[in-house]
Amino acid sequence: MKRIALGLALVALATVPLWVGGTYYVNIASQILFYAIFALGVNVLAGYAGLVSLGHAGLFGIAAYTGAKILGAGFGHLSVAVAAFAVTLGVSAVFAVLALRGTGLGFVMITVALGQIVWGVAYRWISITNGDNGVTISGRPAPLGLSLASPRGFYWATLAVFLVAVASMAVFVASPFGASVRGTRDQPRRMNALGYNVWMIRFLAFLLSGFWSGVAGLLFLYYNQFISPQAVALTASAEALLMVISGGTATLLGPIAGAALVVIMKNVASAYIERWNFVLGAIFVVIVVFMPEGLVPGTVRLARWAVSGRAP
Amino acid sequence: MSALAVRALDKSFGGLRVTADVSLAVEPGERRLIIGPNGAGKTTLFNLITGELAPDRGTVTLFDRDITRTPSRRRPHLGIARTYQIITLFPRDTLLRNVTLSLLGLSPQRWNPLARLDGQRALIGRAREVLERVSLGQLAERPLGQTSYGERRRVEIAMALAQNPRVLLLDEPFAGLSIEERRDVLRLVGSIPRSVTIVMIEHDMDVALDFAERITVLHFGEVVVEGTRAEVVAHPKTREIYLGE
Amino acid sequence: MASEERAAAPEVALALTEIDAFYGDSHVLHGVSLRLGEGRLLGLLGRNGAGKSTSLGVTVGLVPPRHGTVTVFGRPLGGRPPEVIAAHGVALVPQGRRVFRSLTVRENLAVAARRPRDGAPPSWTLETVCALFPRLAERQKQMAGSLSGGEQQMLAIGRALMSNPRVLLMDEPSEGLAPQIVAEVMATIRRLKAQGLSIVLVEQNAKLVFDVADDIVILNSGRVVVDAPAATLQADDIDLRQHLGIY
Repeated sequence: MKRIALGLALVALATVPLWVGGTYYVNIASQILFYAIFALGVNVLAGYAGLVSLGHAGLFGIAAYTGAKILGAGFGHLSVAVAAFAVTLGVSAVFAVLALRGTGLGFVMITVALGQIVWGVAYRWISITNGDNGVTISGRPAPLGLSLASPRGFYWATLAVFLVAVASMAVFVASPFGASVRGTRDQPRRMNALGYNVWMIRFLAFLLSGFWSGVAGLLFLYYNQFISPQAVALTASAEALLMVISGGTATLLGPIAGAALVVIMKNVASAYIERWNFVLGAIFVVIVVFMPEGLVPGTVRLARWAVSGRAP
Repeated sequence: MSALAVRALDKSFGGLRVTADVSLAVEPGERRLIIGPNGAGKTTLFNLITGELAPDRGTVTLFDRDITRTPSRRRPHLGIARTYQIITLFPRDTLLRNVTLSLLGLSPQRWNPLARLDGQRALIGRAREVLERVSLGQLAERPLGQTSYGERRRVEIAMALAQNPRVLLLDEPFAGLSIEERRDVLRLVGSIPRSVTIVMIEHDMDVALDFAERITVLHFGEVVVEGTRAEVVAHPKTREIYLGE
Repeated sequence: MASEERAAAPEVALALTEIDAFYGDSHVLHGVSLRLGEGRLLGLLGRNGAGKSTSLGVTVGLVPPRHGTVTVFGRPLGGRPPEVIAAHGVALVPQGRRVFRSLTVRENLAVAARRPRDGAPPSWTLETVCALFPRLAERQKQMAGSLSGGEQQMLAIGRALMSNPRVLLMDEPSEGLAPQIVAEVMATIRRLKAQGLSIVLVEQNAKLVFDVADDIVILNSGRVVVDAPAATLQADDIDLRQHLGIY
């Protein structure tokens, strides 16, 4: 049953450019996919490790800025990717070491500060980042000779990366290490008493989370051909967290659903509803009241109730 | 050679001396009971032994190996396991998964991000055996949230036994249990082989006094009486502490 | 006034009947029953974890009983919120004193002031409490957190009295106090009893309780194992050691 649903979903995703109705919507689909990758990355920490971060736009942005600078220096797209991931992992490690000095609220506050530092650098170190004007790039990679310049081409490339991300997340979640991470979320003191190195587990989870945030950031850069401090702002981190929470933390489908919700509201609904921000906010309130566990687990619960007739 | 020995252990929080020059030695295979009124420092002593708290002074040795500076996460690898007064299990998981996590803690597999945990047959097989030992084998697939308090207390002990400890610390294992449940847990504790040294903190004298071979009485962080049950019962300090005479 | 009321049929000031209480799933009290006669002092004894504080918690409404009833002067109040039970004249001197550390002595007392339920003029006011505890009178403007243990105990008792209770519950008032301070506390308890207050005194120290209690209830692992007038029990009875000490 699950496999059939999975197969259908794959077919639907692969054929999006054919049925979604126009390049505008293909682009929306691409955005949903790389924001979903970002949300999946944030979910590793917020959902599976129980560590809420409000600074991940910093890692998202660092990958994009690094990519932009390396590309601007004349290097090829492969070098861009390697450099972007190396830098993002390095910065993630620094973030992790600093943030893990705190727990709970302390951790959140440190990540806010770190994200703001990245934003501040992006905004003020004008000689490198061009400040508010941002950095423009031209061109997208052409892996194996296939051009990603068109919306369709880019969509399929993003889809491929998205599928790799989801698959690797699924493997991580089912693995012993994934169980260790969830254990540190539920009972860190007990995990320590059972012989686990809680700090190291959290540190590695942070790196994993940072890596996928960086992947999303690089895709963002190629999509927009542009990176500016706005993508690194606190609101960007908050949005990513909202995607995860509204969709359902500690699930695979949740962050994807949350990303779709936010991107669609931002781009599509905003064309029809002037106060789309208000509507998005109202939707979040409804989710918190009726489905506090998130859209995806909440829908499953309500569906079960509708089918069985028992109380939700 | 003692299985577990602490010497001149001291710990203060601000001005409060919670553990005051405590020394005790538990022989291999011994069943030791630690008792004392509120605030005597019993759980603090356990925390010092497991390394969750660092002492201000004094040493902790395990089979003559000084572990005072060993980080708490390494001590289970050396053979110390403990249960908690308040149940600290993994509520979203099944009983089988709870015990598997305990076994995983000592296995290098715990770092593996690629294999499937559910595919680790040897590990999961051993987890089932442990659940059988505590008479919970038939509930292995039950989520923890759907088990009774008495069953959870037994899972707490299973988590510790799973790690094949040489020294087992039980912190109030009978707390909140009904009479039948107390009997079950007492039988379980009684069935643990002599290869495991057991130190227990308990208030319920009816079950604990039968279990104990030697008793250490703590009061205001100090060891005030120690000996066999008969010696402790007869000691005037014991009467003073418990009956106010 | 108090003696006239006592000359009439003695009332039951507080009655717990077949109380079952849980902390989460942990079954802490099993069918606990006890009765406090008006103007009498009930000593509630037992080891750690026996359920003494939980029994008080059920009485004041901090722990809802799953089964059983709580009545105060005949009125069923089991399961009602603590502020309702307090308004019916039940006051608690909690374990560990728990004075409001950042308030002064005077503020601690003023904040707890309450008129008696029947509208009569209050017997306990700032003046009368300070008369009972001269040491507190001297320190009215002092922060409660800087008082000594004994002074905090006096303050906690005074604070409970300020609500003009009909039933006073005291949870281990001698804990952590030097012997001479303990003697002062016990003297205070005797005075309150002489004034007709109905008191439940929870203690681990049996000897203290036997000196002052009219009735004794002993809890063991959440069950009542002894329930008798104090006069019929001897402090060093073999049975009691089994329930209170090591045997």
